Amino acid sequence: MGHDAHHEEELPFWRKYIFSVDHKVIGVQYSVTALLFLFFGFCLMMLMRWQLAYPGQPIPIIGSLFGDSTAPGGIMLPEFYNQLGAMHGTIMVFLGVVPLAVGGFGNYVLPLQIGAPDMAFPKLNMASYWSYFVGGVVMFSSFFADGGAAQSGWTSYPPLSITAPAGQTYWLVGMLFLILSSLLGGVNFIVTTLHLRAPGLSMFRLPFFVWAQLVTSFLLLLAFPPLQAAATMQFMDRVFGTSFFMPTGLVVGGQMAAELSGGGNPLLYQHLFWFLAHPEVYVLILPALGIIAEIIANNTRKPLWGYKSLIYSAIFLGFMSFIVWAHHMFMTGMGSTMSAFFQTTTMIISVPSIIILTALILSLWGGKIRFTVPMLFAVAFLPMFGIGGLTGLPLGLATPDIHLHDTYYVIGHFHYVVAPGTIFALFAGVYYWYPKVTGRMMNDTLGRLHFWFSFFAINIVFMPMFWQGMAGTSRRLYDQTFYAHGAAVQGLTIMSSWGAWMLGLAQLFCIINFFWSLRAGEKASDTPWHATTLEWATPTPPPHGNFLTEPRVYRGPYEYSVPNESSDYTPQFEA
Amino acid sequence: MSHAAEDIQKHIRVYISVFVALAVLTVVTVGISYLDLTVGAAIALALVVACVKASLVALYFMHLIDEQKGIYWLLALTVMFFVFLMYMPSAWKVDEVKLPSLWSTLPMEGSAAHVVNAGKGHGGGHGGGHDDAGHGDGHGDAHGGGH
Amino acid sequence: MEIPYIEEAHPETGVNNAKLGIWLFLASEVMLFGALFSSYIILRLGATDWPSGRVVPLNIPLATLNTMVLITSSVTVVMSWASLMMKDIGKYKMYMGITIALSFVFLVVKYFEYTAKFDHGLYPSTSTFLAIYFTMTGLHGLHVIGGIGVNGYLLGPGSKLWDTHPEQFTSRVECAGLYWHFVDLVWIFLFPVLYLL
Repeated sequence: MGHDAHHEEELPFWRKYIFSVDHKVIGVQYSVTALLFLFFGFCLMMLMRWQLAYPGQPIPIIGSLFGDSTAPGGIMLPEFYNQLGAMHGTIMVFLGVVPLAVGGFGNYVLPLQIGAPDMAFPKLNMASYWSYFVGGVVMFSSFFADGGAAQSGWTSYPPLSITAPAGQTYWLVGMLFLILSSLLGGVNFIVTTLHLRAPGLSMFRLPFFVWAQLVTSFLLLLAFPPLQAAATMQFMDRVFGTSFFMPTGLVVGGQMAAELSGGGNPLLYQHLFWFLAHPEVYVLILPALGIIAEIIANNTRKPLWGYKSLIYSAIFLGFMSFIVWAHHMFMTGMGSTMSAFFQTTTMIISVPSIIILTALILSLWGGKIRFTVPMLFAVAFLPMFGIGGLTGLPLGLATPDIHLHDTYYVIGHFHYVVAPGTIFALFAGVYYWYPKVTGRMMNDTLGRLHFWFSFFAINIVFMPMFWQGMAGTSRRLYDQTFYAHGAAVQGLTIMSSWGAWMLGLAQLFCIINFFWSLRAGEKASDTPWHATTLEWATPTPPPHGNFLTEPRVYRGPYEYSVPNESSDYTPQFEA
Repeated sequence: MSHAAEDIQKHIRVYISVFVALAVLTVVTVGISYLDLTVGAAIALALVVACVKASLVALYFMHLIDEQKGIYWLLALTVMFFVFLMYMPSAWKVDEVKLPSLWSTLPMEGSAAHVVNAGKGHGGGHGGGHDDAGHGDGHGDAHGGGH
Repeated sequence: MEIPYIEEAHPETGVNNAKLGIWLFLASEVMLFGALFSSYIILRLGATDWPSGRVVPLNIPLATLNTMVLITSSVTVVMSWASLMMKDIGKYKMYMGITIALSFVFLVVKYFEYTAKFDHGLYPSTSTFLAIYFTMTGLHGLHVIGGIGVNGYLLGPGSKLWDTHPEQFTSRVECAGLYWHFVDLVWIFLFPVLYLL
């Protein structure tokens, strides 16, 4: 293992950049792949938004590119709309956000922030990436399967998903590879964090980013396997005709499904799915909170408020996340005991989230705030995540959920947390760590344009959805105007769609900036943001093995503006 | 974890004893399954014996008895979530709402239930109220959440 | 800089990297098989009739034999580790070889069990019980195959590490053993639940 480090320069190209075991190369691979998938998933959504805003109208400009099985004459078929919907969700969550937040940022930054030469298991790390890659390829190729891609929602509930065309089987196989990738990654991150910290770096001197990734890794490790089981059983139902989820007496397309043994239970799938999928949403938010914490401390030039409460809240959040899952299932005929239990745990879990958000907001108080581009995204994150979190509360109570379940209100809620929430945090992370990875600063003007246009557009997309939901507009509808109550709020739909296309255009600022700055960006010093954490102690970009000499840690992670010090920051690693 | 040779010899004696115990317990497992017990007692007894065997494997073959508390914490955490996973859905089954027979007397035009339910009061519509396997499903489409 | 704690134990956890890693992996496997056991309970609780292992019938004597085979292989795998601790590479290879041989015996017995079912027209699609039976034992079987792969590597090409890094090799064998014991553990629960209850 360790002896490879000395032979780094002699490795052939394919082992240095393609099948590399270096966490930094793997982190970049994850990030690039994830960003491509995010872009693709975004494009799927922009297509959907045309159908939603102008149902039955031919898709402009690119309409003729679609075949008769998807959009004959450019007019989207309902089956194709469903494919776009299911794959948009799947791709954004499993191929985009998590691989970028955990595989990308986690892999690149975590070993650097703890002063380690690499991850504990470099080869396993490489295997994790390639498992993700294979899963991604399988998912992508499902669009070309007979009958198209998976089209039963990102949730893939049976019996619908069992009777769906072949793309659903691709989805299941793809998920198995993605889950494997996360499991292996989780093991790696935990062992690395517990065992490979530099001398002097106790657990309570770790940057909050590392704690967030640690809790996330436990969630990935322990929550994903039930979905693996569920995906396996769904695969058996589809391919081998078993009846895990197929109930007795099922009628499909007007015919009794007599060839099935029956005796199965669709709700079993829902329990197994949501047992993962609820912790999954904390996987989506925790790394983001970690990134925001780093950027806020750095740009307020003062320590984070409530460092320990942040850590304990994150741990408590991770633990609670395992016992709230059935709040996604209030409408499935559960009795009052179960309902009361899950409502209670759901209300309890909002407490650590609020503590974390409050601590981050209080961290701004009394700071010398520098509105760098990462800080713009970080500050915007706070109210956006606030809106997302607060709108979750009526959903977590069974009574309002009767009205709001499966409506656009839910879509508004979770998009607020993930889109102007997590994705803004990921943008912040890109602008913040780009100089360390590439040795160049991103262009400041383009960054600000990206921020302001995105912030404006993203609210136009998602804010109307709360009203649509309260008006009763169901989600996953190919044509909302089919119903009078949906037609009544069609103006909001059109507004969301135009917001989405504006948001797409706004990303061009970032895409151009990203590539332009690689060649022409201002050269960055080793520590352009004057930050205190260990990743800034390496040369830029960091060499194989990361640190020239073994680092030693002397103090906590956020020693900014220490009284009687000449500089406004005192790095962890300086004696 | 460096052990002297005599240490290992002691370990080997332990391994052999555990092996014998496991073999005996396997026979016991099969034996007790032929006893005439109530369902609850049969399940409890089988699981108790399995847990004893599992503990022997874990403590001695997997050296858990020598490990420090770190690994124990991880296992305790896992066991706790495992218990949730096992218990919760089963508790749900017990707590499930039995929807009133009202549903079975509102057949839709042209549906199979329309024919089946002519004259039936109770439990015909969703394939029999006591056909628990299909319990969640008859009304699953209407409000089973998701689509 | 080298990666630390490949061989020596970390003071805070008491184990080296590989051992912590394998225990974490086993924790996730507990959740995987746990989900399947949970599914078994739910499906059985909800069933009107349940053609259980006794009713089908499943072959209890063969399964009992398989249980003994796996338990024996657990002993031999821990003996292979003990042999390495006593610096006896010859004994290590013998015990590891026996472990792998016993694993194959397990798989062969399973093969006979499965084909006997298929010959009688009993497939996973025949009943929910058979569905969960084939899925759980099948997944377990896949884990046995995985174990054969790992153990085979450690018996064969992987054993060269003994010459350069004996402690690291011993640690690897111990970790592979931990995985193998887990496979045995799962079967200890699968056997009574599927065959006897």
